[in-house]
Amino acid sequence: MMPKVPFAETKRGSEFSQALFTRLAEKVTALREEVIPPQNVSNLPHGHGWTFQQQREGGFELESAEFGRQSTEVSVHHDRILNNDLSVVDEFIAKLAHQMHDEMMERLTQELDETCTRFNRITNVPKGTSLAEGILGGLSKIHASVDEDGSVSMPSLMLSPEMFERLRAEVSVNQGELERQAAEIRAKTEADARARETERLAEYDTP
Amino acid sequence: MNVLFCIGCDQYEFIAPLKGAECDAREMFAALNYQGYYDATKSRLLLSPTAGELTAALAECFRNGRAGIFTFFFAGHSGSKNGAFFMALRDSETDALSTTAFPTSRLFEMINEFQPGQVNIILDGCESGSSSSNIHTLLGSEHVGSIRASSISFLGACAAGQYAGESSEGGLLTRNILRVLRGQGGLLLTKQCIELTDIAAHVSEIVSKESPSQRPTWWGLNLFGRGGLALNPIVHIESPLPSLSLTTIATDSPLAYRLTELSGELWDEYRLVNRDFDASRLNHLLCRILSAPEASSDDRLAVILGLTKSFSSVAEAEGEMFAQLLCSAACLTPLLPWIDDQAVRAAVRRHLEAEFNATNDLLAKLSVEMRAEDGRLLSPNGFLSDIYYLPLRVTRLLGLLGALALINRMFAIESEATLLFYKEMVTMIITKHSKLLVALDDEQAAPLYVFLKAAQQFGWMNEGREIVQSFYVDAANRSGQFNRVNSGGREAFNYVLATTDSKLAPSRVAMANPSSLLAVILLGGVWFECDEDWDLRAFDRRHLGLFFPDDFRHFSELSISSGYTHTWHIGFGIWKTREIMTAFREILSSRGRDAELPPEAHALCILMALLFPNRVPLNLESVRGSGETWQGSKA
Repeated sequence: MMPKVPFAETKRGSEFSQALFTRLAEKVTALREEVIPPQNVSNLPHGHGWTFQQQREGGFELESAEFGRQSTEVSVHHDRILNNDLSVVDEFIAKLAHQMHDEMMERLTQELDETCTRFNRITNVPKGTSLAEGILGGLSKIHASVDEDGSVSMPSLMLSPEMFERLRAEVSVNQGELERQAAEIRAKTEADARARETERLAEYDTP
Repeated sequence: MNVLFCIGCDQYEFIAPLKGAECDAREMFAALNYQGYYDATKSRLLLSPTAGELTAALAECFRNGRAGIFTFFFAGHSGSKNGAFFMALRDSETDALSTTAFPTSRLFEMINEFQPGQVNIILDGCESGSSSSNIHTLLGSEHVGSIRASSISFLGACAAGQYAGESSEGGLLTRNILRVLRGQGGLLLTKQCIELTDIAAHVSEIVSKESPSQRPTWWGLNLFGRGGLALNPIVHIESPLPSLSLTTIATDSPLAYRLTELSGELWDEYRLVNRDFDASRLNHLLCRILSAPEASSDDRLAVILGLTKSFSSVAEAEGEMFAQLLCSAACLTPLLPWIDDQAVRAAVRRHLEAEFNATNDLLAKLSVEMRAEDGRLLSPNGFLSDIYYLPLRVTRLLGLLGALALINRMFAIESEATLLFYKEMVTMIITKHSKLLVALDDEQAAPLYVFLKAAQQFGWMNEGREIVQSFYVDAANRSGQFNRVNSGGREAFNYVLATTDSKLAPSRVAMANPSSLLAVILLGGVWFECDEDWDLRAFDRRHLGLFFPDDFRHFSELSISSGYTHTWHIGFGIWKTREIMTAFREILSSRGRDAELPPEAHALCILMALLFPNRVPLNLESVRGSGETWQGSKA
């Protein structure tokens, strides 16, 4: 049994902690929304997984996935409490939120990588060849989607700092041509996306 | 009219017979009815009755008028089924308890319907505490219905799943009760009328020692002052409170009507005292009860003493070390308006002295543990909340030490050893926790003030100086901006973020305005002569405030309607601590009446400061110097 403390303030202490975790959740959500728009976030409160319809060349296929546990650890030495170091609260929230976000991003890229491998959406950029052209080749394979407002959602590009520097160097040398190619790919991707959307919506009229 | 029902069941038609239950019932009937305490025509000794016979006897008993005290004793087979508890009688069947035995819920239904003033229930059977091992479960409405106007005390032989032990003489519980009732149980009872709660804890302890697998269960809420069980055959000591000769409050008195009206809320508080103790809520409820018009002083005192005993005996608030002291204080402080009554003063003094002894024991243990472990004051509950509440805890601990020292002197019961212990504990707090002597919340004003007054009174000048200087430095660092009194945990969290320039901080946080804490710190600088270098520019534009009620006898009211909060605006007429002190002394010069308060009033005001964060007991300003004012004031 834990020893009792004088003037324990159990109730208000719990309220304090609850406020702290609420603020932590807000911070984590804000970080997540920087990369994932809220409308793309599903809320699945029950079960251990979910099923969904995956769009394929030939139509939609039923897929399923399992929930995964995400955990991270931030330790606070009790000396900081005994020294009344108030900055520990802000620091704790920021550190934990960023750790959770980083872990989520790591899982996200890992999941993307696995999915791309599984459906052969890999573009290799052999050593010595142009990274920019490799990326453009990759982009040309991407199926963009059309949102509720009819706008085509173009993909975001995530690059490591080294890759980003390499790309910037290439673009600075051959900017005009690369921009022309990118515009072409973009126009084609958008046109393909709208065609697929038209086809999808036409299914409503199928008898 | 007092009614006694004693049932002992040895003979069973469908269950194995017992040997000592009837004997237990006979002897209890005789012992409880010592000197005819119970009405002979209504009381019953039932030996191996059927369920029907017991029901009929109870119906007959309750038919003719309301009982003042109703005592029910049962010895025999018993057991629980589906959350209900049953007493097995002659015609009961183990496999059909619900239809053939007598359920306690039926007994409670009768109690609810006929509402005796005081009910005592003693069950000496297996699993007799089954539904009461958890008091919250037993007191749930599914078990007791909507008990309203009865005081109830309960003692069960054992807890759920346990067997009630017996010897060749009879039940273990009953034998020990009988010994105590006959003055042979090693319990010194000083009053003429024994209450069940007087003996329950003692008897339970003995039974548990004699039979470790048997843990008796007891509880009791006393609504109407004293709740009688039996006359005491051996009164060892004359009662120190001769004016408390009443045994219980007349059920047709104004206070009894108010109690009946508010008894539902009292039961609610009783259920919550262990889980969600709230001194303010309990105090306010008791103030409402005592405010019954035309209530007599004796009745008020009887009610408060009964409730103090009821509540404090079960106060084990989760995680709270001083739950019992705080609970007693919450119960006693509503007596403040009647503190000039000699009997009230004597009762307050007696109860507080007993509480202080227990508190001193806890403090001695805490002191040893604090020396051994730096983190002893950390709460196991609430993640990171101690970043805020630990400094408040330390301030309140200092306040408690100051309060005990001051009240000990007021009551002329101080000893050099105790004072030295308090001082050493203060020194340890300063040494070990100097970084926790910080100003965060205006709630710290009252305990800090009480401590500083004690430090002044007992010449702890170095300690007082060090503490007030530490608070000043921290207060200056945060520009005299403290969290408001009575703010919840969420506001405390926002305050922490706001004062650390966190990007997460909300745009607006309400600070204490005016601040009593800043006033106490700045006055403390003068009292301990450490304000020479203090620069009030750090607090420019801050308001200070101290509340003086017209009469400190109203200090226990939830919101004190008579009095003024005196405020000072730093940088606008006030630039130096000495100017604050001058203005403060001017107020004091017009308050000669505070010196007329009896020591018990001062004591209750100090306790109010420990209980409620929004009142600084400035009555202590009327007591100056070496404490001679209080010498010889023992009632």
